[in-house]
Amino acid sequence: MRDVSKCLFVDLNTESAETLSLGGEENGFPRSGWGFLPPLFLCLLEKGRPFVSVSAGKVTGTGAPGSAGMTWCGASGGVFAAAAAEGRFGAYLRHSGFEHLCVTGKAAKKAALLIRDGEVSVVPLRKRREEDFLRELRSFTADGERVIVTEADGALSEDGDFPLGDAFFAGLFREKNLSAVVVSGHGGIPVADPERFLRLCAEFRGDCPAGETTARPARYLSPGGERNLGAGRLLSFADSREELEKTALSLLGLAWENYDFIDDKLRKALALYNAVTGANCRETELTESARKAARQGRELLGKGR
Amino acid sequence: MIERSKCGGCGVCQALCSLKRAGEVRPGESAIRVERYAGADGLNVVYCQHCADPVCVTACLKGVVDRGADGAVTRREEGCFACGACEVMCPFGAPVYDSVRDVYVTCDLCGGDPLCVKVCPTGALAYLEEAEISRRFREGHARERFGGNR
Amino acid sequence: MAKPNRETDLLIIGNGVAGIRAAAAARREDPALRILIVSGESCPAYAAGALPDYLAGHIPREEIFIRRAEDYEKDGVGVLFGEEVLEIRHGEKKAVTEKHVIAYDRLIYAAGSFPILPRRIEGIGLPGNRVMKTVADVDGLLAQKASSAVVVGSGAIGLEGALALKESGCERVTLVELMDRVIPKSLDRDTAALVAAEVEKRGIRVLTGESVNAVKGEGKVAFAETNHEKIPCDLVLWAVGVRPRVELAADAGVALGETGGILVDDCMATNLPDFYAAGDCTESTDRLTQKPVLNLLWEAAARQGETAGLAAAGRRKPFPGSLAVLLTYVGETPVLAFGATEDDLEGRRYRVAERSAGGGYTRLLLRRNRLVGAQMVGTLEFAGPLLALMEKGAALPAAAGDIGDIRRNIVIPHQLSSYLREFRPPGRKRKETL
Repeated sequence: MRDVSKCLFVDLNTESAETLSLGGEENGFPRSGWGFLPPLFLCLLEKGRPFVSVSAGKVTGTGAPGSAGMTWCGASGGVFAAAAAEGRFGAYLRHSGFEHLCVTGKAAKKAALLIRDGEVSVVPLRKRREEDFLRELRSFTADGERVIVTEADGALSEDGDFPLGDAFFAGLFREKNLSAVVVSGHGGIPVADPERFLRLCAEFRGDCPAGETTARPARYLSPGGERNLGAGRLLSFADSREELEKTALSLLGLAWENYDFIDDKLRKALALYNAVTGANCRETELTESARKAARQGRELLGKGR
Repeated sequence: MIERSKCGGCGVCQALCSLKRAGEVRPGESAIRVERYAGADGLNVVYCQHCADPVCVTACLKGVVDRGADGAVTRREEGCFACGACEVMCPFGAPVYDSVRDVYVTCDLCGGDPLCVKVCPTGALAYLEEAEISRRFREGHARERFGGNR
Repeated sequence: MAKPNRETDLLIIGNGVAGIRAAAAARREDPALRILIVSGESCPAYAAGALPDYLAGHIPREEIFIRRAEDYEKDGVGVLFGEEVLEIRHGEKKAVTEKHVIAYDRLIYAAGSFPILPRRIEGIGLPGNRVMKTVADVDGLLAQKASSAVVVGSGAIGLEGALALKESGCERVTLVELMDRVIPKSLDRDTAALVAAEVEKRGIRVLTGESVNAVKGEGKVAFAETNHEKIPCDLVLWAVGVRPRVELAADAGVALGETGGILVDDCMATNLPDFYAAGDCTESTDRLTQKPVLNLLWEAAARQGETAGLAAAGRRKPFPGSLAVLLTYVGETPVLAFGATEDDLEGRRYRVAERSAGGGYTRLLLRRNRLVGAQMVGTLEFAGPLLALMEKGAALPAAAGDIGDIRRNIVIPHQLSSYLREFRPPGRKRKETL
């Protein structure tokens, strides 16, 4: 299965949207998630264009416990940051046909970005009061199978419940006059070997802590409770075993960073990836690609100085 | 049955049920669905309750929905022409439209070994005899009403 | 020549959904009971609701059937096809048909309804005036291959008929409705406007506040005359309503209700002992208004048939009353309505709340915080739970966290209460299409 992913690239200055098809050259090499994007990021940084992006991985949204991972990346004023987060945004981006969303430019007035199953539009918002503003956002799509990410008071939240992006990313939204992103997705997320995948999921259920500790409502696809990644944990791309593991997990789209009830994470994560994509990657390939991604991450971080 | 105190609304049941039935993850067309709506007020999990006197059986314009001797409500998908009467009459709104097969689907208990029960990370879902389910509901309700550990 | 005699324990007149469900229920209850169905049509039971799909070419003819000949045999149910009942002599417990004299012990009368063809209209007798009630009617429509049709009446049948005709290749279709809006018995003006717009998008002309006063033509239909125009057409499809078929039962002494349907109790028994009735031919009680109605809907007929079958076999399972639920489609767009409309509530205080989201419009009618009616176009979201809520007369929660009245065993899911808070009273009118 070719490792191709689709990126929705939106320029708010021109209100245009473009689909970029990324990857596909390397055979079975577990490059997924934001690993395809650094060249794009470097280009934007060099042109002095601030951007914010969200990336899902190949395992994002497939239903394995903790598989609602996504990675924020963004840069402004020469500062680049990347953070691993957890929620429905990444998964529903995939349901609507994309694995990445990258936004540059600035909207003329406060606007919402509407993504409905591949159809993209920028909608200036009319309502002032928060309640009305949320209702307006909810009226763009039928309920169910949609996610609303809003920027308010310096924080990004998902569906009004969950903190999704920290102050840096919220700031990037604000800079762009981007008040909200609404994603409505009805497409399917493919799994190459459903039987093997489902067996793995049933196995992982044994690792998860029993009922009472769960926070309600839980993050999408997550048993983690207080262990959720929440508003995002920054990736430092340091050359340590720990950081490498975090980078690998964020590439795959698994929000397992704080799941201390899962041991041997990389082996299990890789098993899921192989079941989802039908590939036969070995752990060394995964760590190698994480190392490569970390190197690119360090370069991007360095660009800021 | 679902023990709501244990359910966090994570949606793993929904994602994996749709994967099993459809071969890809399409949560909106799953036989079990978590409905979380505009705010942290709470959540609702919708799935076929296999009612004792199912309205879907009489409402079906093609008569493809039946209730078997074992109590499970089943449907013969070949005869379904997706009129939606079952969805509209079901008090739980359990039947859902499968856009790829162009028929309505509901929980068929996976033939006796429900997947959702096996994958629920918190163990909120359980597959039990009717009598046992009643007993647990009654106990839970009594505990809520009168407090204490019984 | 004397007609051959037949004998049975349970005689069922009518092979529609009420009749076959009665047979199935009686058979389940009593495996030894002799059951005989007499049907005026020559084919096994079919889904009347699927007829427009057959007409439109969505499904082949075979697919509308819900029974095959073998199914009757399998259940041990005898059936006489293509035979009209001429007289019921209930005193003697004998029914005389065209071909037989049948002796029975118990009788379930499920003769259904017949479509109204207004006799007084000039030209009503010309070929090209049709109705759409039976599969034979649709066979005829398909054979005619009309190129221009006028459909009279915009209830579910008229609407679906018009859409199906257009899809089956009829180039010009005009829908004529007497009242000021389409589906007037089930929809308020605002909802009906959305539906009419969808219908017009499909190239069908919708005329409201109009009627067909005469049909003209030489030897066959050529024009339909309304108040304002002469519409050239080769087909006039009359969809102006149905009446319960009660003559035979009334002649036998069965009492009728004020609506003209057969009066039955909650187990489908009539005033005559061992004489039950079910389906379109009966008068039932509307579950919400508690008033007598003719509920000409599939689900009610199915449930009534089941009740009658069980009663005839000795088991009491009361019928809870009928619910008027309209569900139809304009292309892929669903249209749903249940409960009261604004017209039904005239003279009483009520509130309207509506919501448009993602191409779907939902309209709720409330009296004192209780849902009394709902209409939806382009969405079926929460239809089932709202219907259940309305049936139970539950008070809608005023605030989050209110889960309703546990004593009456009504639980309103929190998510439904959040959903309900999305609704607003109709504001300034903005031109809105879906």
